[in-house]
Amino acid sequence: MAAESALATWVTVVVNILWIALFILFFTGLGNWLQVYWYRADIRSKLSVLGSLADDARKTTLDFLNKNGAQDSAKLLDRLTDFFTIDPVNIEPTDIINRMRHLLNIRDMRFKDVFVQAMPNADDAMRSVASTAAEITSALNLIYKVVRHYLLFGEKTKNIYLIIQLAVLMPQIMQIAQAYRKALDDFLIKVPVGDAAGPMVAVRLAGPEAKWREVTEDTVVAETTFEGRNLIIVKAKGPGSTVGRPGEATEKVIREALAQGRKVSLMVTVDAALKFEGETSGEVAEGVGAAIGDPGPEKIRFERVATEYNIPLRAVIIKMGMDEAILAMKKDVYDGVEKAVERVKQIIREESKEGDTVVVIGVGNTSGVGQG
Amino acid sequence: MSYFNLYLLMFLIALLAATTAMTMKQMSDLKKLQEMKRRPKIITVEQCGSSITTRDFREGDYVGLATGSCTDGTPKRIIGIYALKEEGKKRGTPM
Repeated sequence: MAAESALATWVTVVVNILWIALFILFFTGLGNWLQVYWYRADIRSKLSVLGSLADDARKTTLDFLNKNGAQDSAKLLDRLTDFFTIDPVNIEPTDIINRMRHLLNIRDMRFKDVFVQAMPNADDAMRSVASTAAEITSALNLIYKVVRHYLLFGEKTKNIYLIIQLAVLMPQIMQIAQAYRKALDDFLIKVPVGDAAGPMVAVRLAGPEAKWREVTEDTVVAETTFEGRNLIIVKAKGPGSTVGRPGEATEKVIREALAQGRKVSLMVTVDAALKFEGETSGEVAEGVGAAIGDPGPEKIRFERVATEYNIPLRAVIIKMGMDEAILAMKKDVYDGVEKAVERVKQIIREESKEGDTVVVIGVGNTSGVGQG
Repeated sequence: MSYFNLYLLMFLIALLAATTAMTMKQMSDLKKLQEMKRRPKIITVEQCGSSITTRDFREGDYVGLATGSCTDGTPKRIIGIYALKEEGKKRGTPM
């Protein structure tokens, strides 16, 4: 009896303590404070992982630069890590595309020139890989700094909602950062990434004997025939890591073809595209428009030239996840490339006639995909 | 046991549980980071006429690279490179 009574007392004590604790937590706002304390600890733990990812990427990039004879590599990387591009004014949209193109071209040329000066003995492909590695390092550094900024700002201003929002976003941010870090290793060994699906389709269609010529900065063109049609194939110049200027190159070759009296009856853009969750990677879909994920200047060139000469503009996409687009090409995506080649051929058969000229553009980063 | 000792014990148990949970969470994050360093197996696809063969990726391989000659004298070329899915060690696959 005595033991039962003692147990009952203990249970009552525990229940009372829990009630009192709940009241205190609820009415004093201490509950929120505890929750935010937990969130902050979680963010700090993830922030240290982000920091180590950024440091690791920097170290890997420096090793690559040093291995390839880059001069003053640490200073060079520091300079590029904080490089930024300011968006053009958009409250006055007149000529915004030209202004944006101008700024993006300057940025590309700056990166290119810096690596030409720093790595005089390396080839173009190696320099483009170094440039991409610097961009990935910069992106990881930026992610780390942004997360740190919001955490410190939230703490400084006692804004618990800012911290809660950051905590909610952290798993997604971690996934993106980890994908970037993995992508760095893939780019450094020049493995085709998922985004190379478009250029790979272009190479398949052109065939191994195609003669490629550079028509504009980092962009090549080849001509071949398919069931009586003349195909003009456009892709970025590989096997370095670049997306080239497919819009500018396409506009140029179409004007050239028309000036020669050829009938350009179809444009087909092929690119990697983000899938919805639940969709299978490597699935192929088709539609209308320019399949390209640039900020605008290249895409608008496809649309403008297609509209000017009334050329049907078709799009074929190979679906994949965000991480798959920047990591080594998976087998599913590789199989998707084969399907996309067949789909492009089907579109050409159905929507052009023998003797016509068809332009096929393989859009995407051509890392690990040369010209054959 | 006095009430004070009881409260102290409960506080310590709660603190221990919270610390353990946070440590486990951090360990899980670090484990994920370690797993991230595992590289997928990368395969190079080569073509000679209609014959297609695969081999392990070697640094320097890229799509379009001529890697040798076929029996008919035409160049043997790399037509594809892809990564195989990483499998868990538990399944016992030779990755």
